[in-house]
Amino acid sequence: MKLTQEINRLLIAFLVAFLIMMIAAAYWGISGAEDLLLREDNPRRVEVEAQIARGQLVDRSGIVLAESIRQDNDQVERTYYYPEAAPFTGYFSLRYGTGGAETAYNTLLRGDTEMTLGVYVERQLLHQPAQGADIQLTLSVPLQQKLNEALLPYRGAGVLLSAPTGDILALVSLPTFDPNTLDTEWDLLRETEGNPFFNRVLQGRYQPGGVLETPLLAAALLRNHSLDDSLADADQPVILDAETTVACAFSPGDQPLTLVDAYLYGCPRPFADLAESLEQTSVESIFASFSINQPATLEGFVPAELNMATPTPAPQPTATPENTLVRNVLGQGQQVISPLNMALIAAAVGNEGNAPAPRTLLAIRSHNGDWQPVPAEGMSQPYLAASAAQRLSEFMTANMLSDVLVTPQAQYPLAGHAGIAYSGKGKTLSWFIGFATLPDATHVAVAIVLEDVNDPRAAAQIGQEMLMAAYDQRIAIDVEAATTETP
Amino acid sequence: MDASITLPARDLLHTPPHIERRLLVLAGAFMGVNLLSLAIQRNFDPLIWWPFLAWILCAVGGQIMLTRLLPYRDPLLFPLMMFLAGWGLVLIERLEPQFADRQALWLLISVGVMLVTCSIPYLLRTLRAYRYTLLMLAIGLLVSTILLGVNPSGFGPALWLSVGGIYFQPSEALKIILVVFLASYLSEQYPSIRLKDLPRLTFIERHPWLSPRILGPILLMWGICVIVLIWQRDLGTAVLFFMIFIVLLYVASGVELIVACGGLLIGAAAVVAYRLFDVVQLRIDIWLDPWPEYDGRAFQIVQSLMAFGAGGIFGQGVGQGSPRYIPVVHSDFAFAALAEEWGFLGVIVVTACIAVLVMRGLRVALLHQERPFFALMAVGLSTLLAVQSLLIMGGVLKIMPLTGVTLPFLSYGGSSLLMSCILMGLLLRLSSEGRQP
Repeated sequence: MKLTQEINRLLIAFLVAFLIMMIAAAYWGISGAEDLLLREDNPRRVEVEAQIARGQLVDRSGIVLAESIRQDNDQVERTYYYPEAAPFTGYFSLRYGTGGAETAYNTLLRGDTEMTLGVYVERQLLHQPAQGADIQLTLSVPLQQKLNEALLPYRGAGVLLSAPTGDILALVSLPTFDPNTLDTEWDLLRETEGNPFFNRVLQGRYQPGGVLETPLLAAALLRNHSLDDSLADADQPVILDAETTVACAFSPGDQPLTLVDAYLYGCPRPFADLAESLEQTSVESIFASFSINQPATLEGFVPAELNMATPTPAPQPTATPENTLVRNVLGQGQQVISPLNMALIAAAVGNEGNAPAPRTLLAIRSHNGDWQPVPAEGMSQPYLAASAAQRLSEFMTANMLSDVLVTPQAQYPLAGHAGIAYSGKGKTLSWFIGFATLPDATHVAVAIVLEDVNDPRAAAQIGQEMLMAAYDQRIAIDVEAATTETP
Repeated sequence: MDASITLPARDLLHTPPHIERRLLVLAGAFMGVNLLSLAIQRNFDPLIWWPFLAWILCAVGGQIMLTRLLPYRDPLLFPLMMFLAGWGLVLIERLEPQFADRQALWLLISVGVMLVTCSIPYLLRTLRAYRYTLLMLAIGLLVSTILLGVNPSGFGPALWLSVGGIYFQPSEALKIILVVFLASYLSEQYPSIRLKDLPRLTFIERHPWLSPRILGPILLMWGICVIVLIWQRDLGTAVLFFMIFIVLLYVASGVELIVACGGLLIGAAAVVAYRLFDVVQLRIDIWLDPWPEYDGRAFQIVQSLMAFGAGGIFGQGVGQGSPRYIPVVHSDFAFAALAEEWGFLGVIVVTACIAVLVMRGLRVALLHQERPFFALMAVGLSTLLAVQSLLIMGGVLKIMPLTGVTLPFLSYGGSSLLMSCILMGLLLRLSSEGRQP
C-alpha cells in the first residue's frame, strides 16, 4: 500500500497554490503597482511628496520668493516670502496641488529629471529625497509689490512686461490669496466672491471697450485716413441697444474733434464711423493682425480648460447683424480680450510694431550647480508696420503729456491710452495700456483693468506709476552697474 | 509539470554537515546585512544586534546538536527554518523594535524546545500511544480558552491564555495535537480503508470511509471547528483545522470524493457563517470589494495591497518603506511588509522557501510509506505549514478572505514561533528516522 499518488497530488496542489500566490504578488507589485501608487488615498504618495525639497523660486535680481525648508520630521514646508506675488508664483500644497509658476515649472522644481544611473542610485536605492532645481523668474519683486499695492483697493488685473524680451516683470490679479495659508483657508477662498484662484491677467476675458481704439487707429494709419480733419458729432455717444450707450471716456468739452482727439478722449463715435468705412473683413483683418481673438497665455500657468472662463459672468447683449461690427470695434458685446493681450498690443506699439513673446523663466540652477540662463524660445510677432507704430507711439505719448488721462510727468518718456468698457448692466471696466521707453531704447509695457470702476483715470494713474517705477528701476540698475564697473 | 518526488538511494541519505553549515552562513549573512542597514539608519544603535546574537546562538547550537542527535536528518529543513526565522527577526526589528528582543528570546526558547523534541527517544511512538490523552488535552485547552481566554491587547478575539504574565495561544498547540491525533487514528484505520482484496458485502464495507469509525472523527472535527468558529470567532484556525483533517483523510483513504465533500462543507459553512457572524460577513465583504471602504473597514487590506504596489520588483529596502501604515503589520501582515521592503523578489524567495519546506516534508512522508503513522504525521505537519502560509498569503493578497493566522517563522508571536519550531523538530525527527539506514 503506497501513498505515493496521493502525496504527489498533494504536492502538486500545494505548488500550484504557491505559484498562484507569486502570480498575485506579481500582479499587485508589478502590473497593478502604478494604479495603487497613484491612488489619492495612498498615504505613501503624500509621504514621498512631502519629502521632496522643491527648488527655490527667485526673482530676476535673485530675491528668494519661495523655498522649501526641511522640518525635524523630515518633511518639507514651502514658505512664500512675498505672498503678494501669488498670482505669478502660484502655490504648492500637498493637499491641493500647484498653481502658477509652481505648476509651469513643477517638473524642474520637483527634481523630476532624467533617470540617470546616479539619480537612480540616489533616489531608488539610497532613497534620498528628491532635490529640485532653483528657478529664476522674470518677476521683479519691487515692481510686483508696487503694482499690487496700487491695485489693492480694486478688483482687477495688471501686468507689466518688457519689450523686446517679453519678460513678465509684474503680474497682479485681485482678489488673490496667501499661498502660506492656503491649506487652512482653501474652503474659504473657494467661496470668496471674485474667486481669488482665477488669474485675471491670463484667464480674464474682458470687453476691451475704448482701448480697442489703438488697433483701429493703426488701421486708419495703414489705410491713410486723414487724422487731422474735424469730425462732425465726434463727441456724441453710440447707442448699441436700450441698455448700452457708449460715450466718451473723458469729456472733450465743446471743441471740435479730430480722430486723434477722439483717441485721446476715448470718444467712440468717430471709431464706429471708421469701422463702417473699413467694412467687416478689414476690421477682422486688423483684429487678426493684433491677435485680439487669440488669447495670449503663459504656458503651464493655468489649466487649459480654464482659459475660457470669465471673471465676471454677465449676460452678453444679444448681437444683431446690424450692429455686430460696431459692437466689436467698440470692444463691446462678444468682443473680449485678456489683459496680457492688451499689454502685448502696447508693447508692440513701443517696439516698432513687434509684440514680444511673453516669458517667465530666466535661468535654472540644478542642485549644487550654477545658474544656467534659459534662452527665450518664443518669437516676436509683427502686429503692425513700424511706421504706423511710430505714429501711434507719438499719439500715445501726447496722451500722457496732456492732463486728460493723468497729471503729466514730462521727465518720463511715457505713452498711453485709457478707455472704458461695459460688461453688463451697470458694470463698467476701466482700462489703461501704455509703455515707457527706457534709456537703452527698450520698452516696458503695461495693461491695467479695473472691474466695476467707471473712472479710466484711476487705471491710467496706476499705469503711469508703474511705468515710472520701471523706468526708475532701470535707471537705478544702470547707475549701480556703472558704479560697480568704475574702479 | 512533473512535481513528483523520487527518492535517492539509501546510502546517499546521510546529511553532509557542510551543506547545512553553508546554508546557515548564507542565512546569517542575509540577516547581518539587513540588520547592518537598519543599524546605519539608526545611528549604529548597538541594541539592534541582540536578536542577531540570539539567532547565531540558535543556528550554531542547533546545527551542532542536530548533527549529534539526528545525523540522517534532511539537510534543508533546519537552514530554511533559520533563514525564515532570521528574516522574521529583521522584520520585527524594523517594524516594532520594542518587540524584537522578546521575539529573539522566543526564538532561543523555541529552538531549544525543538532540539528537545528531536532528542526524546521514542517520542513519535509515545505520541501515537497517547493519542486519546492528547485529544483530551486539546479539548481541555479549547474549553479553557473559551472560558478563560484573554487578548493581550485588551480588545479583539480572546484567543490567549495567560500563565504568570506570559500569554500563550492554545490554538497553536492544538494544530500539532490535531495532526498527531489524526495521524495516529487514521493510521490505525488505514488497513480497513485501503485493503481492496477483502470481501466486501455490505455498503459500508464497499465504502469503508463512510463507516462510523471514519465518519465519526469527521463529525467530531467538524464540531470542533464549528466551536472554534462560534465561540472564538477564529475563522483562520477553524479553516486550518478542517483542511488538515480533509487532507489527511484523503491521503489515508485515497478517495478523491473526500476532497470534494470537504470543499463543499467549507463552502456551506462559509455561507452559513456569512449570514450568522458579523466577523465573517465583514471579512468576505471587504475581500470581494475593499475599495469603497478603503479608509474604514477595509483599511488594512487596502494598505496591504498598496504595500505590494510600493514594493515593486526590488522593494524599497529595509527600513525605507512605509509598511507601518498597515495596522498590526508585524503580526497578520508581515508578508505585506516584506513585499514593500524586499519587493517581489523577497516575496518569491519567502514563498519558495516555504514551498521547499513543504516539499521536503512531503518527501519525508514518502520515506515512511511502510509506516503509515509516520507518513501521515509528515503529511499533516507539511500540510499545516502549507495551509497556514497559504491562508495568510492569500488573505494579504486578496485571493481569499482574511483569516488572521500568522505566517510561520516570519510573523511576530511567541506561540506561533514555538509551535512552528516544534513542527520542524518533529519533521527533522521523522526525516532522520526515514533516512536512517
